[in-house]
Parts: sequence; C-alpha cells; structure tokens
Amino acid sequence: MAAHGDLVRRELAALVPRLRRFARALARNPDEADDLVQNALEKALRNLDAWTPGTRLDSWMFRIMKNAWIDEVRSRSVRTRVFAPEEAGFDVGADGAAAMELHLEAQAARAAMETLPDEQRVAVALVLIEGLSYREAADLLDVPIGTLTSRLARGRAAIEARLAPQAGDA
Amino acid sequence: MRITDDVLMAFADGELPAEEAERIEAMMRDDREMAARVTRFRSVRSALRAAYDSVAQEPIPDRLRALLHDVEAAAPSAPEPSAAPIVHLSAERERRRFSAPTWAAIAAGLVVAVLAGRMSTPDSLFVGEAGHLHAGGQLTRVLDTRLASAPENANDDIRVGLTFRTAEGDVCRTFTGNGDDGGVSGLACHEANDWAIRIAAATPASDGEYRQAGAETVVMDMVDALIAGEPLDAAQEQAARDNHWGD
Repeated sequence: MAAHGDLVRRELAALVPRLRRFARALARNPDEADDLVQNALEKALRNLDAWTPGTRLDSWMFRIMKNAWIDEVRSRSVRTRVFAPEEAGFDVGADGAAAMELHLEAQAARAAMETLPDEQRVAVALVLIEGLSYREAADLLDVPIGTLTSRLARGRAAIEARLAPQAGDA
Repeated sequence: MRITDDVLMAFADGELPAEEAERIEAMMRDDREMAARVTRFRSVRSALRAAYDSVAQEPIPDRLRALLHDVEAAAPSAPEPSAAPIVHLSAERERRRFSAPTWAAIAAGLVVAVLAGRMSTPDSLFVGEAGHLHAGGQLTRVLDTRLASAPENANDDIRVGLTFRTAEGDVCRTFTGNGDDGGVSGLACHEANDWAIRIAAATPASDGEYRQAGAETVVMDMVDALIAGEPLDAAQEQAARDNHWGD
C-alpha cells in the first residue's frame, strides 16, 4: 500500500506544473490558483485509494480540482463577492525577466478568459489549454459531448472577439 | 454545401476521423473563406496556450512541494520514468506540445511578437510595426532565394527551416537568426510580394539551448496551426522559389 502511495505521489509531483496551469486558467489570481492546487492535492492525498491505478491520473486530478473550484465559486457568491474581480489580471510583468511587450498579449488572452462564464471557462481550459479531447473533457465534467462542444464554441468565440477586434486582416 | 462551424471547430481541434479530416482539408484548398474560419479556431487555441504555458514553467511554490515532499526529495528535478503501469496516454504529447517557455513568444495568427530593441538596429530582421511586421532586407533576401538544402544554409547567421503551404495557398517558411544579442526563431508567410512575420520568438544569448529549443517549439506550434498537408520537399521548395513563391 505504501509503495502504491509513493508511486502516486511521485506521479502527482510530476503533474503539479500542469495542475498549476489549469488552476491559473480557472482562478482569478496566482495566489488563488495555488490555493486551489493545494486544496486539490490535499483532497487527492486523503483519497489516494479512490484512484484506480491504470486510469488517467491527470483526468482524476483535474476533476478534483474542478469540483474544488466549483465549491469555491459557490461559497464566494454567497459571500456577496466582497472581493470583486476587479483585482483581475495577473501581474505577469512582475517576473521581469524577459520583459517583453509580449506579456501584454498574454494578459489580453488571460483577461479574455476571465470574462467567460465559469462553465465555458472550464471547457476552454480543459480542451484548449490542457489538450484534453472532447470526449475526455465531457466525461470529466459529466456532461454530454454536445454540451461540452457548445460551451467550448461559445467560450472560444468570446475570446476571439476580444483578441481580434478587427479580425480578418491577419 | 456549407460546412458548419461545429464541424470546422472539431476539425481544428483534431477531433474528426481521418477520412473526414482529409475531406475538409481538400475543401479548404479551394475555399479560402473556410480555411480562414479554421485558422480563427486555431488561433484562439494557440493564443491561450501561449498565454498560460509560462505557468507550467514557473518554479513550484514551496508549500506545494512540501505537500509531496517525501518523494520530491527522492526524485529531484527530472521525474523518473514510472515502472508501474500507470497510464499517461497523453503525457508525452502534452510535454512536447506545452513545453515552450512562452515568456518570449505569442502565437495567435492574429498577433505578431516583436522585440523592440531588435527593431532599431541597422540590420533589423524585421521592419514595420507590431502586428504588421515584415522581413527586413537581409531576411527577405534569404527567404526569397535560399533553399534549405543550400550549403550556406548550414552556417549562415540566418537559416531557413521548413517551407510549407497554408490552407489558403500561401507559402510560409520558418527561419532562425543568430546575432550577438541572442537568437530569433520565426515564421514568415509570403503575401503581396512581401514576407509577413507571423510569429517570432526571441532567445537571449545568455539563456542557452534550453530556451532556444523553447522558442522553436513555439514556432512549430504555429506551423502546426497553419500547415495544410506536408512540408514541401526539396523539389517542391525549388519549384515554389522558381515561381516566386506563388506570386
């Protein structure tokens, strides 16, 4: 049992960069995103037995994280959103390293993500950022594939509209 | 018959069965409007990927490492290959697709990445404004005339990589440039007798091979988003050049 646990922990450690990226796409700022990762990892570690070896660990973790995030969003809306999403936007410039104006474009894409309704945001994050197939994402979200693709299409159209106000002359 | 956006989106996301995908690809060759719709689907994907990839490159915060610390210490940085039959079907694919450090690169099809400092040098690789960049003199000469197989391509400061056609029928070429202040990898497409820069990613000199590889991954993602069919082979490349890249 211990061996099994160690193995999964090691696999989880290797997944952390992707979990953080997924969380960043869902949450409103980097701290909140890492809270979400931590929350999900703790849940996973408490329930290691619930994961079936041989199945996708990444999908399992994404599902745990998605559920944790939904809980968070719900409790937040109950608290009347004192912390308004105005703090939005990630201060990516702070990393300073390769200070290029490219960050502006990245910020635009992230800002566009933040405007999406939650359901569309998860669908977009799973498929377009994390690279899951439609089927994998639909299964993970427990929705029919048509629902998944419709959320994906609407989210994508909204992002495109924000990124390319004068699209067509590319 | 108009193909619905649903189908085109699935095509752009690689969700269609091979046979149907080939049918769409063939239709795209004659239908620029349709090809443009596919490009728009793909550009959102590449823009998002570029915007979030950097997160996966960040150092892991201590509090998260601490959660998994007991094994983390045993397996320092490079994750060991797992001996057990844990299925990560797409793990390797993910690593390849998402490994680019995108601090220096933005793909989008709509967006062109530029490095301000580079713009002002006398021998600029690029001219124009962000969003409407074109190849500068030296780069234009190389892209106009150089075949990838040419001997000088192996050791010139500017080297040509792949040449391919987009669904719209434009010819595009990847290139790398090396200078004292680092390197650039990029992708240019021939439009209106000019080479429009679709993407360029910088690689500061001090950052070595790792980031160079990252920049090239970003460019290859862009190739994936734009290419129709296979890259041109040597004979096709030469024919395209003789044809002035399709003018």
